[in-house]
Amino acid sequence: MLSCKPQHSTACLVYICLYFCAQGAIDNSTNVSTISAFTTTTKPLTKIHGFSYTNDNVDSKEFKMTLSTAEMLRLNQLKTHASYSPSNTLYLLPVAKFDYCVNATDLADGLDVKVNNARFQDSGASNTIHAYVHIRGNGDALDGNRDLFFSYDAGASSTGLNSANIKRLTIGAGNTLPTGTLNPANGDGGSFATTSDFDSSINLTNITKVVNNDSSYTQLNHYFAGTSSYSLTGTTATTRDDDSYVYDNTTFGTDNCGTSNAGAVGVVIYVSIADILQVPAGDYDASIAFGFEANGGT
Amino acid sequence: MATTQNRQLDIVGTPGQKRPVAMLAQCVSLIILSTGQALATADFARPTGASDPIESASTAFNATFSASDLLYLQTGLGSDYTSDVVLVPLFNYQVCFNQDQADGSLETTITSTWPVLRSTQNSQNYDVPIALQISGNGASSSGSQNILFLKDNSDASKTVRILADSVFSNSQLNTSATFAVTTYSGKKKPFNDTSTGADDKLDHFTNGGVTHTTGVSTPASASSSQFVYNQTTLNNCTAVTAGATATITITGYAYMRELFENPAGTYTLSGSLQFKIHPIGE
Repeated sequence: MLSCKPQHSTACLVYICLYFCAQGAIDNSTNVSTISAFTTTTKPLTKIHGFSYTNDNVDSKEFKMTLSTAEMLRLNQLKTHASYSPSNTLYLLPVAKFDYCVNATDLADGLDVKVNNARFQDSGASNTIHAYVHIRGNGDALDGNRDLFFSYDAGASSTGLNSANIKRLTIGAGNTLPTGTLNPANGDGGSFATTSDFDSSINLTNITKVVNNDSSYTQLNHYFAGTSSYSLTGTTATTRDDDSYVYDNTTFGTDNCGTSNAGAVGVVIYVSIADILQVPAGDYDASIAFGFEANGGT
Repeated sequence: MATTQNRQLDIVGTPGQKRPVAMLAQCVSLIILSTGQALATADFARPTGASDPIESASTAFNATFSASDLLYLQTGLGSDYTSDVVLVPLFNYQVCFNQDQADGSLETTITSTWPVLRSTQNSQNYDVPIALQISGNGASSSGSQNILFLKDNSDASKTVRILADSVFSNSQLNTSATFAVTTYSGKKKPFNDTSTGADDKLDHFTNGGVTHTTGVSTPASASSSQFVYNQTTLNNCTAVTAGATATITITGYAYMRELFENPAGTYTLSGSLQFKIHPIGE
């Protein structure tokens, strides 16, 4: 319709103007109205839908863990093992593992995370057992680290968060301490592993470290737009024992938080075995706070 | 009367005889005028002294949903209405339309392809569907006062819920208000449905023509940090007889769930959205 013969150039210009100038307005010759500019911006949304652990109040979880005298003796046996090397290795005992179901719609930047107060102290705050928190996102964002390791402080230079070697005690199927003599070696008869509890291809030492994460946030690679709500039914943790160690380990039921639980952010809380072995017997408490927000604080 | 003209055109005119045909048409028009019969009118009305019809709004609509806005919608929606289409109104404006036949017979059609709100991130398109509602003044003897166009027949067959007026305060989302939706009860159509049944007509009648002066309301100030519902009205557009409103209201919606089930970002219209209001058959 816009083709014009040379002798009709003036008429053609007029026509083109009518055609294009009518965009975004009413063309009364055709009874057509046009909406040509229409933009909607959605800011990053972060929402925690729930946790995999149960029988809890809304905002926090009280994990109780007891080490019996016999278990303390077994842990102490590590000290006499030839390959035990606390001077250059951080030995970790897992205390709790669970999942958050988190909507985080910032595809470009992922989810910002902080962890505060990751340490257990006695009533006088004179003795400390350092805690270490591994957080794992789903890796679907375009930026951020999928695995983050938080601690209250760096600890001793060689045995704290920045240790050259980090090992975790591998826990048996019954969520109790492994049977037999504890061996500080890795796998194949050893009682420890150097890889992540989430992904055996990830070495604990290589996970990005975050020390004293007080007010600032660190980018976690996690993107999950998901849906409005989820029916979250976490797996049942092994019953806690007032007299001995039980690993509180839960996850979501099948497809509870999106297909294959794609919206889950995994958490493992560890404590330092070396600290346990050198502090007085007693009650040690921690109130570890987790913060999630969209990148930039919105 | 138009039928009579066409019939005479068929008799007198041939492909090579355009000029006699045109002359005859003029004569017929003169006869009509001389008899004093009123011409039926169905057209966008021009304000007094103006050469072109006006809308109450600029057609550039920009809405921003804050994290709080989205959280409010997401939490409010929860697990309800998962089989329904749930809509958030984004803009609402008016045109003045003169339609002085009591039985209406106005047709509303989408004359463009149906666009979506689209954000492209990491080479992937993310789409938020839209809906468009055209509402007449309800004064005609037939037709539907509200016609809602949706992206396809599947959605048009679903129950449609619209975010309730009660959650808006000064054109913003009042995230302290109880979340509520209302069930849409008007006509629903896929955008490409050109049916002309009784309920496909737009219920709009302006008895005796319209009086229309220029001037529009000012929408609430847009915000780049939170949602503002862009609503405007014409200052004066009324039917001559009885003074009823002669405005047709256009409301644009976004699908609510898709606003937060897609990555955060800027979603722009993938193409112009054009609609036509016209007598059936013209």
